Amino acid sequence: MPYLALDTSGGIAVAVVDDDGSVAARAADTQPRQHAERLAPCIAAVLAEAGVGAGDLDGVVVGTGPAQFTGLRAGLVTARTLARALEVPVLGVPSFAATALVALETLDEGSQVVVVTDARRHEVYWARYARDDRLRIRAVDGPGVAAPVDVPTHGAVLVGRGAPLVAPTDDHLAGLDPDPAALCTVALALRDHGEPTPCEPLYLRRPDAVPPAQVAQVRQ
Amino acid sequence: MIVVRPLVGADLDAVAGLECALFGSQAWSHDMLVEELCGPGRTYVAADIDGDLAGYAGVRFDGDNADIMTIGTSPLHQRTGVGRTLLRALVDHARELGAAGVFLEVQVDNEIAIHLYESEGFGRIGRRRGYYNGADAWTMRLQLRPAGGVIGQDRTMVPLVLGMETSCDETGVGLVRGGELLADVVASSVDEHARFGGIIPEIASRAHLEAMVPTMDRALDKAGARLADVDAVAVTAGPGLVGPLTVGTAAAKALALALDRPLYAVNHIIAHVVVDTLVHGPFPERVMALVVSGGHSSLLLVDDTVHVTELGSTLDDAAGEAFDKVGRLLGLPYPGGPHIDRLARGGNPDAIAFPRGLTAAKDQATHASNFSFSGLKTAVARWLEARQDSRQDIVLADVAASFAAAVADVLTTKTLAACAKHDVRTLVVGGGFSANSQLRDMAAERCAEAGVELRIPPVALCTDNGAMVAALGAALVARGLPASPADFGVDSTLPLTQVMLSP
Repeated sequence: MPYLALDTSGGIAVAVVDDDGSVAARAADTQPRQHAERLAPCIAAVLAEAGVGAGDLDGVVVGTGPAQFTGLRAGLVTARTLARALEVPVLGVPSFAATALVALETLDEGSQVVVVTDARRHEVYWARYARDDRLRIRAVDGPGVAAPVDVPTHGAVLVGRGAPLVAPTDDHLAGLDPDPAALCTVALALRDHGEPTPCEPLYLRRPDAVPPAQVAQVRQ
Repeated sequence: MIVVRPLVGADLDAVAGLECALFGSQAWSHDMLVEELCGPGRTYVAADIDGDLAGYAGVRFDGDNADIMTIGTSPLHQRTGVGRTLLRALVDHARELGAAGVFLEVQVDNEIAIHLYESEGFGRIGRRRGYYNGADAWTMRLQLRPAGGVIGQDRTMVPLVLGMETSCDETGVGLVRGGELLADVVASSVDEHARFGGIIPEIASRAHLEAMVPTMDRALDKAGARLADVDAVAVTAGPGLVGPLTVGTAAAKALALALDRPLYAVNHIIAHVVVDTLVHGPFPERVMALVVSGGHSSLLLVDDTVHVTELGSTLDDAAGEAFDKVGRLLGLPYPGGPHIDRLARGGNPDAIAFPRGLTAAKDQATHASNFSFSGLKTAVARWLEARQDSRQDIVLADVAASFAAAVADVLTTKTLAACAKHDVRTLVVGGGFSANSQLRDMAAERCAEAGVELRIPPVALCTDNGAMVAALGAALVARGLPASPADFGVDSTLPLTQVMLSP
């Protein structure tokens, strides 16, 4: 009863995950801005390695960001279209939840983490997470986009690629990317407890678009 | 009077003689004729005029489809309707047998026969290289049963191609089988862009993500097809906006992966040309194509539907872009094209002598087939300023009509000059700006004068849509071309000569 999990909030990360949470195959591609080119071949390779046909999948799990928009959309439209064509459910989970789950498992109970990634333009995406008995993990604050100095850390441990932009942190924690297997774990926990798993992108920013200044009108 | 009757053994000597006269070295011998007449599923008929054998023809039925084996008309009776009479007899027979369709091959330079078949409803579905001793043949098909009822059951016939288009602000999904349009559904985000006076790529990209799967579902529903029926997927790989293109190509790759079907990454501009085959039938061997839109103004020579030579394009603004910019000068809402078109219909096109870019004699050596509309836009701006400065009245309808006439004049003059130069008798006009009525009217008038056949798809197929992508995909599939590689990327500046991304 395998699931396909994919995340495009950084590079590309894909895994085929069995019901018991074991990973049948996985692949990662850290090339930025190659999502449209490489995601589908990467999925095909992971399915082949796992010995799973696309038609054998029971569902698709996708990371919903926050992230750079173009790559994020490539992942979301891929997941939605695959799920539609295979007639299986698609479950969306914030990519940060996967990073947070992996980090919290290495930390003391009661710890909290703030996941941080580079949002460019001198800003970062952030969200604070804690462990949760029922759902494994829950967002305490965020997600948001802010200048690094404005991220409300509240003493939580900083994790993720953008963490050093806020404050010095442990190299291992700063090297964490969303793990598709963890994404799948969170998605199935949410589903099993009847919680929503919206497959909607976390853009957190409005499109850059400014209405033009009024041009001189011609009198008739 | 032509009398059709079954061909019998006593006719064979006469038929063998006709074979030699008509087909020379490829003629069937007497023995081959005997074997052919007795073959399984064969039906041969003869046409008599005043007791003389004027022609003969045969068909083979394989239980699903009928293949026309031969049609021969005596040199004494050609152009008297014998061939057509025989063809109709065979088609009637195939229909009585319950055939799904009738197929035939014809040498690509046999224009008289091709015309006969097309006039009887046959369409070209593929080209066979070297079929007749080195000469190419068209495979043609007449569908006898409606396509809607045979999808899924009749996969052996003509592939069902799903096309996706997301190069700008329209999310389009179309379904095409052979030359037949089954569904064309478009979701547009144009209203979201209007207040910004132009397309905002990020807004368009967000709208594509939300519209992609629902648009696909609506198209399938309209065609009465299931995804499992789809034989090939086609998608716009460029030219266009990177963000929007990325959404469409990622969706198409996912679909091809899930369905395990080939994916064709195609050129948006060439799709604007080939979409006309869905309306007016297959192209002749060579056509001239004028593609005009908000982003493009290009003149192309198209051979065998999918081989493109670029003759010229705009050096600055596209025709549609010039309309939008002049619309802004005139204080018209975005997009300005349709508003200028409407205003112009009530104005005098000769009121103001606006310049015709790159039409001077000195430009003909290097820019005979190139366009320039930037100077025209500036001329309109200067004219308006001068009028306002001198506090003279401005008749907007006359400005619009004179401007629109200048654009249509340049486009049609240069295009017809290219038709004459390359001796092309068919012109296809495509792209969003081909909805412009001044261009349509002037092209119709001047093509008629020049004896050039003008083909312009209806407006709904001129603007961006998925059917045009499916049409080009179907043309590539019919020619047996290999699919695009799995790791292709979008190309915002894809050259017009590159019809698809090949392995």
